[in-house]
Amino acid sequence: MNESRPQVFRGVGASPGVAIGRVFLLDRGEVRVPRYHLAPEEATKEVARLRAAIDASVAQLDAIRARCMGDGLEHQNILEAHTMMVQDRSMREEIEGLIQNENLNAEWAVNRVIGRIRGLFDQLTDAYLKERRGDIDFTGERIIRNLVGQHADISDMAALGDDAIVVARDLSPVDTALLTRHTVLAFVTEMGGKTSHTSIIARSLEVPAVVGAKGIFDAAGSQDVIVVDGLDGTVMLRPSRTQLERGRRRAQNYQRSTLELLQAKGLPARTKDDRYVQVAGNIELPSEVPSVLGRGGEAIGLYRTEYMFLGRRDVPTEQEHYETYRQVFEHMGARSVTVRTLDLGGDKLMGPLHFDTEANPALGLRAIRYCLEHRTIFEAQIAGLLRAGLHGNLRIMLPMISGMEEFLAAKEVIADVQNRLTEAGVPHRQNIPVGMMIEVPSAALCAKALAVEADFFSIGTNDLMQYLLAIDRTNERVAHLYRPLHPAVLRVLKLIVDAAKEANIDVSICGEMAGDIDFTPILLGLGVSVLSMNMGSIPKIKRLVRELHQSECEALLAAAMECVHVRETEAMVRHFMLKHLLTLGAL
Amino acid sequence: MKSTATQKVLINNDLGLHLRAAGILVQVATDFQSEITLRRGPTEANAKSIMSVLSLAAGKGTELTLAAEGEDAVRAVETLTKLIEGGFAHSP
Repeated sequence: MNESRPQVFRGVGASPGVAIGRVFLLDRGEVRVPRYHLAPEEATKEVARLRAAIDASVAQLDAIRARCMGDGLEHQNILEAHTMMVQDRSMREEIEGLIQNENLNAEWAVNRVIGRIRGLFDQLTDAYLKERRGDIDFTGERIIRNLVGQHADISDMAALGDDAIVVARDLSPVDTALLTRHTVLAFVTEMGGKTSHTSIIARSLEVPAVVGAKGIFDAAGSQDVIVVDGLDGTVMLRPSRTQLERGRRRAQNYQRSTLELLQAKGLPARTKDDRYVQVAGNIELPSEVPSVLGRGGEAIGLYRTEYMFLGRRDVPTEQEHYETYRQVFEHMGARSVTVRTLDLGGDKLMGPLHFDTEANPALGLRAIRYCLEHRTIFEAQIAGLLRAGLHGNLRIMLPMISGMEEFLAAKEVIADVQNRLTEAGVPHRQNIPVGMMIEVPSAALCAKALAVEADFFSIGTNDLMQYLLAIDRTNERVAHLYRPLHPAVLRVLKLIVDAAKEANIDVSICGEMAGDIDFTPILLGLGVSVLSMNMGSIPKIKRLVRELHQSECEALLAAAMECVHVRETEAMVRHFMLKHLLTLGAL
Repeated sequence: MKSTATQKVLINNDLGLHLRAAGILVQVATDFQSEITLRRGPTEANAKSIMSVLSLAAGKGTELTLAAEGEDAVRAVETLTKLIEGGFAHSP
């Protein structure tokens, strides 16, 4: 058989992009596990040998960790966990027990204990936890390599050229940490899924990766030409001229479209028939503002303030609120910043606020309900906001409003705080727009009345769908029933948007739907005025809007509203997207 | 004075007791003098050992029983309960 013929492998695209380079085989070689029984008097010496190997392992990991300082917390945390694993006391005691009681040599004892622990993971169904088997294996492997005197880490990385594509059976977090010190064009592994460390790291480095490409390691030769397509999960080894040409074209297309996206980020999101929609960013921290602006975000559509309440034992003071918000306003200048007041409870972290345990936190005392019962905490936030409002274009957004009474009660608190500040002569901003999140079905059904009182609506599609469809989408058993294009969802969205339009107030979408290209045509068709999303999605959503016609989106929505089955609406939207994405390339 | 404390806890973060969460749990547990265990059905883990905690393979939604014995047992159980139910606040 001619070994140099082209070969194609299919795996899972774990990080997007297309790269062409030369194979760098990452082979640490098989680890030898010598097995023999010790004479009883040798046990003490063998335990000492084990401990020395563990010490050496810890030292190696510490050194690697020191070298990778500044590579990001994710990496550091994983390396730290590995350091804890190699020196784990109960594992060591179990190994020492085998050495002393069964007279196994150290390598054999380590191998057996690791095998037992790993066996516990084999029956798991949870994909993420299952992949932790790899971490257990790497731990045992490192100790054994140190026992037998093999190199535990790749030493010849200096040989990495500048067109290297790493091909490995599997990469340990330590391997990836070391590799990221060099330029690597792409990663290909036989093992691993979308949540493996390799995938996570590749995405954070923004290089293409394909995982689960079975058979590639034995088929690849060092320096072979290789094309890695992280978009569709294919890998071409020693490609033919046509394959190479196709790879080049896909690489160029991908580069061009990402480049264009960033170059065009400053252009407004205006459809071909001249309908403008504001594209805004969601943030949690003041430090995220530059990234939103850098990606072409025109406003902050959702500033989540919960972060201030987390990881502390007391509650933030009025002054802390003021200083934090002021940073955001000063950076944003005249651009609009919509601040959502405290939305803790339910699935979110409890922080210092000592919530009582509730059987049904999603339906419990949270968000505005909590704030109306704990006035001092709420008033401190409002006062800080009103004062900071002097420095920018503030809008206050109240979360989880379920009806008129709650909204009016919350507005009254705001008015009270305003009076108190005025009486005390504290400078603050007057006439701040106060709007609400629409995320509870009861509020959606009363949208018409609420639109008269509110200055704006913002639809929190994640919670709204959860309450509307009675689906906890973090529950694997029902997550498949979470369908954003469910006819009921479309009807409720239309009800809310129509009510807002009639009252002539702004209506935005700030849930995940806003940043998902699959839903952009429907949301445009509805006629929302603002799409607020995670900052990463901003450039591509703006670009997509510029490719669409408002009239076509409206026609799509009208047709979708006729559907009775969720599958029909999904098919309709998919068809619409296919038609338009043809002109968009790899968006 | 020696005391004991137990508490049922629910693993509620998306990735379950994954590598980092287990690491954080073990670090916090190690600060207490008490002996601390986590039980899942018939399986028992030493809360001060990362291998032991990982081998509970506790995914999201798993219920565990936290038990401590020693001078600071009550405080240990309280602190760890908060950590677990807060979804390991320090691990984003």
